[in-house]
Amino acid sequence: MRRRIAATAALLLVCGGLAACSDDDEQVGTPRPPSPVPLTGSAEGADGSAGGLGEEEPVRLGVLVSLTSASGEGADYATRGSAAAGGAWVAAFRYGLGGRTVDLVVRDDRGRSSDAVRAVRDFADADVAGIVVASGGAHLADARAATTGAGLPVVLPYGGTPAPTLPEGVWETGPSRDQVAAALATAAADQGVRRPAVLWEGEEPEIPDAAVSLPVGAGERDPDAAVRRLARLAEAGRIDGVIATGGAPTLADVVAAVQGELSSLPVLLGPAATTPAFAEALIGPDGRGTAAGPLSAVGVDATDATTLTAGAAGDAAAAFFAGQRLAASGGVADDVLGDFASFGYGADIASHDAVVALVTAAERAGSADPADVGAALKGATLDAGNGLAGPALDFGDARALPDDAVRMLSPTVQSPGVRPVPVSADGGAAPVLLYWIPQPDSRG
Amino acid sequence: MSAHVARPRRPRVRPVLMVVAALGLTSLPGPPAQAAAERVLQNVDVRLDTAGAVTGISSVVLRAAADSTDDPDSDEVAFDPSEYADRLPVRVLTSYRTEDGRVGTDLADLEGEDGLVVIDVTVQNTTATTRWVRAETAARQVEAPALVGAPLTVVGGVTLDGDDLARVVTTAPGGAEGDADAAVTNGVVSRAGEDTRVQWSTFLAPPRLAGTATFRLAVQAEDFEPPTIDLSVQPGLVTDPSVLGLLDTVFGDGPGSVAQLDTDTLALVGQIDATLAEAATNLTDVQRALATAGDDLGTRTIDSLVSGQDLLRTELGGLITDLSDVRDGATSELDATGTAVTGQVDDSLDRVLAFLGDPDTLLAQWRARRSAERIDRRAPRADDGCEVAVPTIDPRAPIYAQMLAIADGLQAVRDGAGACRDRIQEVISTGLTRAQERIGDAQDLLGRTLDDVQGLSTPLADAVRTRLAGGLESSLDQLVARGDEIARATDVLTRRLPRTSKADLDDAVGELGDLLGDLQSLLDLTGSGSDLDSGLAGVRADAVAGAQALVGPGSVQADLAAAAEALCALPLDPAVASAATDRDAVVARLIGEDCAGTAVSGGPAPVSAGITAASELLTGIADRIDDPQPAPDPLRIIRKALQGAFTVASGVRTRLDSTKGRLDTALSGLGDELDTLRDAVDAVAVVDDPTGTPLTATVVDGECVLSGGGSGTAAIDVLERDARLLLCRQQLIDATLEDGLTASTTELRAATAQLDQPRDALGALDTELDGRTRAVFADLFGSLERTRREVLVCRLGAQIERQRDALGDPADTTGAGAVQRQCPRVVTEADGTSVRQGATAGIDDAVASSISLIDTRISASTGDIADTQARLVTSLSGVLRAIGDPQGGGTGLLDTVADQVDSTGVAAADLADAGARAGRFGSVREQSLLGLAQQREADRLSRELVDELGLFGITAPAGSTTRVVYTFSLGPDGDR
Repeated sequence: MRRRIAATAALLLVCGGLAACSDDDEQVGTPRPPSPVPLTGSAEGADGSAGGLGEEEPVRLGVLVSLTSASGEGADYATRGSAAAGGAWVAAFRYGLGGRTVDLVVRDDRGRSSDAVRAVRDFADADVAGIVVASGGAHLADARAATTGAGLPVVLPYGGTPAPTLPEGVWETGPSRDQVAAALATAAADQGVRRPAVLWEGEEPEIPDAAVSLPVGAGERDPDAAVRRLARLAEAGRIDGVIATGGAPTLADVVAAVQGELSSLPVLLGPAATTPAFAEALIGPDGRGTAAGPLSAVGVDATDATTLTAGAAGDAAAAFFAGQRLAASGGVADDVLGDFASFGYGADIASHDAVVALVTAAERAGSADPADVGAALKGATLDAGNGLAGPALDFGDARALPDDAVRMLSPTVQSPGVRPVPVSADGGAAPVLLYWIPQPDSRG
Repeated sequence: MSAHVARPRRPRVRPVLMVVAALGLTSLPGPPAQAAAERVLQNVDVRLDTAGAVTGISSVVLRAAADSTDDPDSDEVAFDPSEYADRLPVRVLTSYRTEDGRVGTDLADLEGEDGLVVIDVTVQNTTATTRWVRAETAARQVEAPALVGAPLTVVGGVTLDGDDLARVVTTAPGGAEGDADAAVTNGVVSRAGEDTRVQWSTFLAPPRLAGTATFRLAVQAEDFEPPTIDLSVQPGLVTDPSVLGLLDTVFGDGPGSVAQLDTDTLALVGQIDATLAEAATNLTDVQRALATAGDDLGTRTIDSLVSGQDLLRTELGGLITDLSDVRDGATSELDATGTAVTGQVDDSLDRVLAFLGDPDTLLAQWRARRSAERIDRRAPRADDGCEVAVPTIDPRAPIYAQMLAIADGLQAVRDGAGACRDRIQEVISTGLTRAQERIGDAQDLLGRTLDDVQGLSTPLADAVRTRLAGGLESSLDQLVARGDEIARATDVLTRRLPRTSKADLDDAVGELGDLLGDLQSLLDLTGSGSDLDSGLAGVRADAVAGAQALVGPGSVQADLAAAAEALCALPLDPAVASAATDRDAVVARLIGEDCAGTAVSGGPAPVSAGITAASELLTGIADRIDDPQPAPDPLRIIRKALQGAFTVASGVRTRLDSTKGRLDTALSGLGDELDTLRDAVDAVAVVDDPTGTPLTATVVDGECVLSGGGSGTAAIDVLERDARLLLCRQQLIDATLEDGLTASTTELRAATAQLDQPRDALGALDTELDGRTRAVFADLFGSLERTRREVLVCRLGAQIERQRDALGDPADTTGAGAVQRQCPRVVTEADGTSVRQGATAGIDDAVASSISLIDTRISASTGDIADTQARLVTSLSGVLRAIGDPQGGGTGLLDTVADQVDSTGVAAADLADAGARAGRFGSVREQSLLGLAQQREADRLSRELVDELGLFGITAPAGSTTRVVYTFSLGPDGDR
């Protein structure tokens, strides 16, 4: 055997580095391009006919954010230094690379109903083609109604609207409240939780077989006190798991309290847990919890970890994060939020895809008029081929996210390393994130 | 699309290109399942254009029977990129930016560019998947999802034409090297003949290491030409990425092979890892002992430290023994091969053992010294103050000696400072801790009481509203309705008389009988000894017990007074001018007066005041339940009202019975008593005014006030008013009870918070001790880290030397050589070259061609093997740091150990913070340990994934030894 190794090694010494020792490879088959970082949009009209929006015609979109708010009223998505809503800027940047100008008009409603309504009026005055509401909570109810009055199509990338129906021209592309409740109930059953305790902020989720349901957060019971009560119930065998919904700060408080009092119980959380705000509140400089333990949250399988898989979904996510890295070094800035490099570290795919949906609708309509955009978006089905970085969306339903796209995710602090280098805002500590991975379908 | 498959050719035949495309053909047919095992080396060559599109995939395979000495066969296969690109283990993305801020993804855009050009080639590991991973600690076992992916070794290289060395940007303006996003090249720059060479290397190993890496090339360009960038990707953590290493891995064997050396290295590291993990567990035990020693801070804490340190010392002795075994085993194996590596291994392990120390010798010396000291030891004096004579620990001493020194230090802490420490801590800490616990008990009691009240509200509500056939309110409605019916009946009766039948009156009497039955049920449910009665008594008992726990004999208040008295009795340090003032301030925070008994006003209320207020509230609650004046207990109110209703209803029935008797008389007689009968009926009931408002009772200024309803004074009206009032008062009492108890809880929380100040003063006593302990442990782990690195560097240095020797280049001109010089006995394989050259003639030309092709491809990316290996050694060191770096602040093994030490210190301080917080800390800490255990298991699964990757597009018989290396060529050459 050693003779053979020595022989092949010696051959290398003789032939190594000589191009003449081999033929050039013959390339066969069809090339496989990467998922493009530049977004070039649709060249077709809604009916498949040629046309679309002229390349020189910009698309102006309104983006509503809540830089500050009470828990559960939208600030989760605009965390200073790490805004989930930054995905909207990634989308605009990618369109810019592809030759399409997408202008984002940003308003901060501070989590207040009156400011949100005023912002909608501003958007209408600015002739936007549609609005991305990168916020959430009950304070948006009047603003949603106002958009209908103004004839502006609206995409809500974070879902969870506390209303049974949505006004005409308003679409949710994040998990709806019913999808969240169903996912939590199913996951609880899968994890052997038969008597869940439900702690909720804002709107009470409909969880069948809840052993106890307590409101928590501002104006309600303190999460620590609620969990102490749950501890007594757990000791008596009356609960065997905890479900919590609401804003990120409240969820972080609940998780920290549960980890101190009831660390063995599974904790299932609403979608706000997947925001940068939750990570900051739980494991940031002032956090008092840990990402370890039986923790999971409702979300969409379109995260950093998606890039570490082969296939179309991985390619689409990889293109999004490549766009985010380029945007961080490409001088992108916003009047309200500042430099992208200092606010976009936590950018998510949901807000990116909301912009892609509205721009695609404008291109299909061949017009940036909001009425035309709304009409083109209604009934449309979009996927990665249209530039989405997340799951396909069906705008035939006001709740556009398919049920099977809603998954339970688990947190990890190990970064897949696909985001740009985090930059601290205002000279403070660099932002921290939790990274979410989908739970496998089967165990063992 | 079509598939063209050719039979593997025999040697001496020109390679035949096979094409694998679509049409369902997912891999080339391999040998039959029962075929003999083989050794297979595959090179998959991937062409990428300047935008990162995969334009071609081809494969060269060397294949030989595992048990054959024949030369290997070779063949080539081409794959359709559109079908096979997704099976590659990595994704390669390109991007660039220019000095003027232009960004993009197609490097062809940079053609002719002048000024700063920054190119990013991002490589992403795409083998990741999520799996359920089990993890367990001594206390718990969990199963949780984790990301696992096959670890990959990636090496990249680019050759820039001409003498462009100075044009490669390696330093950011202003020297911002720490900025990972700076526009500087992050590879190794060197001169390669007339050209400039840049090389990168990294591991993509999620979850422990990042799954993505970016190779950055920054150049000050003039008329830029996009270069061709070469990458090679090998599954696994490989420190020798050369073709020789590959051949050794697949076709080599024996303990002297590179693969075996890698295995030895990793096994050694693994053994150290495992032993240190055991040590970490012992430290966890220490932490737990600390966390549970809540009632005796002084002695038990130090005892626990000593105990844990003894365990650690025992484990360290085991580690030393294990390492000795490793050395003996490795030495005998290497001796058997006749190689000269033995000396190097011996030397490395000797250095490790020298660092660790000889436990037998050191322990004997230590015991002898301890014995002598024990004879001379004087009993500690009570007035020694808080001096702690910790022995000096020499950081250069063997680790085992340091461990013994730690033992001495802990013993000194226990013995030397014991008196002062014990005295202060036992008096103050025990007193305060007891107070804390008592308050905690009181809080628990209050919590239970609150729960009881909340619980009672249910049976009360059940009883009053639900359990009695629709509840009292319903009964009341029925009562009123029946009263109306009775009134109507009697009215009709009156109007009908003397024609009224006797049956009408009988019905009215019957309904009234039902009403009386309902009322009797209510009386039974609320009577003495009923559930409601017992529950309310329980509330009162808890309130009384809570009040006594706070202010009675042996209470929290008494403990506070005792703690204050102990503080006042402590001698003052004359060197501290403010000592008396500080002490009085602490005492005043506790009891509201200083050591002289003078009341101190101003500032927040003392702890004792909060406790007194809480006690008074509890007493008030108990009195409220017990004393009928001024507000009787709820059950008495209920019973009184029910009794009244029963009396009224009974009166009604009596009157009806009387009426009935008179009617009977009238009917049987002449009906002369009609007027008398009318009077009787009027006295029973009046019909409500149908236009009036409903009768309601609401709370106004803490009292129940009636409003609405009719103005009649008949028995039915009286009954309704009483009942409405009854309901209202029951709700009022519920609210009063809950408000009172909540206020008590708030007071107690405030009192608890005020205990922080004296507790902080107490905690400071531990700080110095903990600081010293941590310093000693930090030295220990620093030594371990140095030892581990030396072992690693020396072993890998030997590999580099061997390879350079094999390539006929013994010159030591690289940075790696400098590293090797740290090892005193680097070994060379002096006769390897001649052996290999002598066998050249036996090599088949075609096989030679294939090997050359592979070598060319790999060499394009690896370039200078020594530099590459030096980078990989650094990277592997990074891996090991991920396994553990005491100063890293991460989650590696050594970090865990260091963290345990820190946590131990934290836990010691937390002891003074009462049992509840310690339990909470323990829970969170256990979660972290479970997380670490889960990470280790995920790492293990990830390593297994390397084997699951297998060959690309081809198969091999079961039991075969296979190895795949992927090479990527990115640039203009990849354009089609």
